[in-house]
Amino acid sequence: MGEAASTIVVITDANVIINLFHIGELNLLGALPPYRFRIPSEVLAEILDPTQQDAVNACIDAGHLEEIVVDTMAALALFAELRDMMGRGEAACLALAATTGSHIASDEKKRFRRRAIDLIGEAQILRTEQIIVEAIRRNLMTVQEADTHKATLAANNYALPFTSFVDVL
Amino acid sequence: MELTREQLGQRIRAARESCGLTQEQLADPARLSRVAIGQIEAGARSVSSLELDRIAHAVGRDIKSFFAAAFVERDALSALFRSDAELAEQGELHKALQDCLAVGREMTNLERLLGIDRAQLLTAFYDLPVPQSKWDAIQQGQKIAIEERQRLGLGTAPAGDLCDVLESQGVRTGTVSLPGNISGLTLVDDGIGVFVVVNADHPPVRQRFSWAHEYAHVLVDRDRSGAISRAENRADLLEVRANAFAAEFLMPADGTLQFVQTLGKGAASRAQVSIFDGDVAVQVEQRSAPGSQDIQLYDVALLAHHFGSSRISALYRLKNLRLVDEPEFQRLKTEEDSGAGQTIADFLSAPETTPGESARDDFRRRFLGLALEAYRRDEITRSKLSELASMVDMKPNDVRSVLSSVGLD
Repeated sequence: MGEAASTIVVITDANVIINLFHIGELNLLGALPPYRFRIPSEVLAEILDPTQQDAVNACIDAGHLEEIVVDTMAALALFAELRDMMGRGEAACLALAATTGSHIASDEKKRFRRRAIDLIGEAQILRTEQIIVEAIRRNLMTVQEADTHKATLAANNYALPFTSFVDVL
Repeated sequence: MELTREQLGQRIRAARESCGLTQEQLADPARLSRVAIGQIEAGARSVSSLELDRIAHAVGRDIKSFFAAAFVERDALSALFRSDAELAEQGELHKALQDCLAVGREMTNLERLLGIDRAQLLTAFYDLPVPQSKWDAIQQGQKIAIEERQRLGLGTAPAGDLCDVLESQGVRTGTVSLPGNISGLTLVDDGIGVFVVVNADHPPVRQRFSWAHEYAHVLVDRDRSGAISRAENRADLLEVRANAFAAEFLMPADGTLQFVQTLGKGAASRAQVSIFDGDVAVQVEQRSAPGSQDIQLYDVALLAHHFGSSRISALYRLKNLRLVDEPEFQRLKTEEDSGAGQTIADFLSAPETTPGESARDDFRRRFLGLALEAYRRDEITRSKLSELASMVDMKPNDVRSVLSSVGLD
């Protein structure tokens, strides 16, 4: 199925999915056009918590998220190469993004981010806080709600390096 | 140049066939139908990364090998399959081998990422003719054990930690759960090198014998690309040779005799010496006190503890070296079988192996240590670290708490 010219495909890693689950905002994935979020099968397999699995499956059923597989020869070859240094889900995300010109949604830092920047460029990497910022800009969320989410994320081991979302809008 | 789907299919087919697997046999672990396997091999159907990962695991490879510039059709697993036509039917063993290879490859990858210049294979290769009889096999095994001890400078002393001995010779070692009838195996793979695995579920004292047994295969049989040591094959001449090697390597004849002598035993009950003074000879005779040279079960326990062997193997060693005769052997074995050996060993604080010595833990420590270092040096991602940890039965929560406690979170 072809994409509209303006569509920005975002290959989504587990950490972003789980962060959005923690703040109860998984539905944002279907509410931020032209972003169209996709989840590789490998990432889906890494979500082990049954409640989170149910929420993600509901998201897929609602069309907010679409499952995708790595099956082109170029993506398979890159996936195989990346497996030396990263997990299955991360390698699938990066292989798909790099070979299809897509964006990636990942909160991973260090090695993954460095390799992602090499392959797709920093501008094509979305983080959880950027998705929240997009939601605020589209009036899907208030700054106050976003700051409450910020506290929830911090409680779940994802601390953001700013005081309030006001500072990054 | 990018591989085509047809070329990938051909490589999958070659890998499958070199393992002696039918499409049907590959379909199950790949969680695909036989028809789908056929289509993939013909290049008529795309294969996903998840499917390719499972196919690679089933044929004992990593996914990267399918995309290598020079595809190697025959690897370690296929060599073993060629040596044992029934292997493909033995699901439990097949799975254990796949797991071994996967761990071995990850270990190799970690060392490469960390720039660890693993020692080349330093161990000797003894080019021996195929033994013609069991006696021949035993003689060969003993001979190379003596030569190898000499080469390693072990003299008559206990061999120490055998994993360390093998690793120091550039042999990769690992412990993995294997079917009960398999004591160990030796894999020879272009990527991994020589990889010796022993059964993690066997007691430490048996594992120790297995390390030595597999070392014999490394020294003599590594041109065969691999060997599986299983109970039902113990009468095979190559297995007999490896067992003879292990017995001599672990408990060298001279060392055993010396140790027995430190216990005040091992001398003949009656010794005669003729002293010639240039004119006549003076006969000197020494008789040991009756029963003083009789080896007791506590002697066996001390001997076994000294060399890190089991009491029963120490007992057989004493018999083979004629330090005990058949009636004594039977008496001691009956005592050992009754549980007396364990009681005596406990009393003497002389366990068969050093408490706490666990090759499995050692291997796990080494593997996890490398993985943590690779993560600290930013060579692998946290998700990769978790995957590696799960390969040695560590839970994601354990990884989290370890990272937190060492400040790598």
